[in-house]
Amino acid sequence: MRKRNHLEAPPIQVMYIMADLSPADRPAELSDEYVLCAIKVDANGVLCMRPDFSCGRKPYSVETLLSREGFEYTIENVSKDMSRQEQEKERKMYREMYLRHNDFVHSCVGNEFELPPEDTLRYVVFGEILSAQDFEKDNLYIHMFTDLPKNWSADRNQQLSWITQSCSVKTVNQTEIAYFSYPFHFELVYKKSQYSSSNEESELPQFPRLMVEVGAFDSWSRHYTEGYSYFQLPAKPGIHMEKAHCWRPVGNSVFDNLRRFFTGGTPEIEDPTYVAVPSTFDGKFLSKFGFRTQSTGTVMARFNVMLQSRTFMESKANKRSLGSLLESLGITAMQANITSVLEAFKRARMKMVQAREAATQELLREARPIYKGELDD
Amino acid sequence: MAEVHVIGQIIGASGFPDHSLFCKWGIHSGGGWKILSGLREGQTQVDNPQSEDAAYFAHPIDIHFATKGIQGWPRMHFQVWHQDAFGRNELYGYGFVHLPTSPGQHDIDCPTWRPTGTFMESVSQFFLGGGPHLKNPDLIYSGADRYKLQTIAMGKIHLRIGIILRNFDKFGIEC
Repeated sequence: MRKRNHLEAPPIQVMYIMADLSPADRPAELSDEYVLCAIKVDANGVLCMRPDFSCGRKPYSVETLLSREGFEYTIENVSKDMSRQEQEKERKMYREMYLRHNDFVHSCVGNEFELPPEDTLRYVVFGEILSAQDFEKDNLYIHMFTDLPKNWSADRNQQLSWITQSCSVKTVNQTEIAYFSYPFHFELVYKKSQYSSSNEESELPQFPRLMVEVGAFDSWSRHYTEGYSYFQLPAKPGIHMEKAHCWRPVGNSVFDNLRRFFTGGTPEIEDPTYVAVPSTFDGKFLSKFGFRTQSTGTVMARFNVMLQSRTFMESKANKRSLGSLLESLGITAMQANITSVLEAFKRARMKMVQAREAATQELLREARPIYKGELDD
Repeated sequence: MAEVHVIGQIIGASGFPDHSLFCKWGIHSGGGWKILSGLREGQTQVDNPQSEDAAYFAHPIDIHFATKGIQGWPRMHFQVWHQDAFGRNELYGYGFVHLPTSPGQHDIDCPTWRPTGTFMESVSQFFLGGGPHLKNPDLIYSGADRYKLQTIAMGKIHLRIGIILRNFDKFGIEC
């Protein structure tokens, strides 16, 4: 079995229950011993018994070779169960072991956790650029960077711009798709500035965007701009699969297309944030009319978004106080009992005082001043 | 003091040009993360389907992390290899994916790519097998001239991962 099966089996211990079935007149020989039952235990603690206990089934039979005698036998379990005390002891021991392991694990974990500073919202994204499909040229790469609106900031060492490797496309279901599988992550901090004007007080924060530029290089070092787009980073925490549909700028005349075909080089955008809302835009009405583009392919990315802030901790603590309020409602019932007893006592005392008053009044009414000489007889 | 349980499996791989694949996987996490139990890397068996389109590994992933911060959330890297009839191994793809950050069960497809060389190298790769590998896969995460690395798209790896988070809400994290 070792030759056929290349899995390593753990070491096994075997015990055989055998019977000596030699006839009464002959002395016993080795060939008269027959195996009735084999019990195997392996290093993982698996006990294997073959054949199993009879449990009311037909008895097993064994036949001697020489004299062709048949014997039938049954196997029964007559071992004593563990006493109740021993079971309790074993259970206590397991619980103790589990608690100790729990404590050990807790001490490994520690009690600290890294928190953002007060009054800030930390926005963390772990994501991958998955793929790009339906573009015109081969050998695509993607260049991405974040665009931070106001009140958002990032650490100085934080990388906010990424360039993927170049990937040749393959054809899947009549689409040409390039796989990037490029992981990225970043962490941004939102802090409401102290000196915001009054009309900004009620605005919701504008979440950042990821600007995407798809480019292509070919074997003759011609560079093509394949598309621009942007991902609006989601405000809700969780996992988001996003698609960005790209477009590329197109010149006004035929010569631009010819130039692109022969030598590469296409009109590029000067201000990269033009793709979404240009950073120089300040008015009320954004018009991109007159800017000629052509649609190209799509880029797919996955974002894992997490938000962290100390104010979330406080609301969690408030939830906890609600829970303790619900608990203390039980105590209030007891308190109500005590109060009712006190009330009854107070009422009884009032009654007693009133009665005493009335009695005193009675006595005082019936009393008259003692004249001189009345008590003398 | 927060903990993350990752319980799942590498279901299989599909879309590769040939069958007889195996997958090397590993999980890489930041400095504040500690593995309480579980293996952090492994290699699946070679699966050679006769009639199916996809290779199935059903390789279990069971890890328990303890962490002091969100930074350095673990990510998995994969290398899909092909074993041919002569027993030679050649690289069929690299893939990288972050572990999901929200609790629950997630079905994840990880696309893979492999580096291509010059034309002559791809001719010899066709006849003899082999081909360029990355010397150090960690370099993929940094560098400004990453676009000079020429690659070609390969297949996809399918994962099903369940995530259980503990104590994250105590530290004000919404996920």
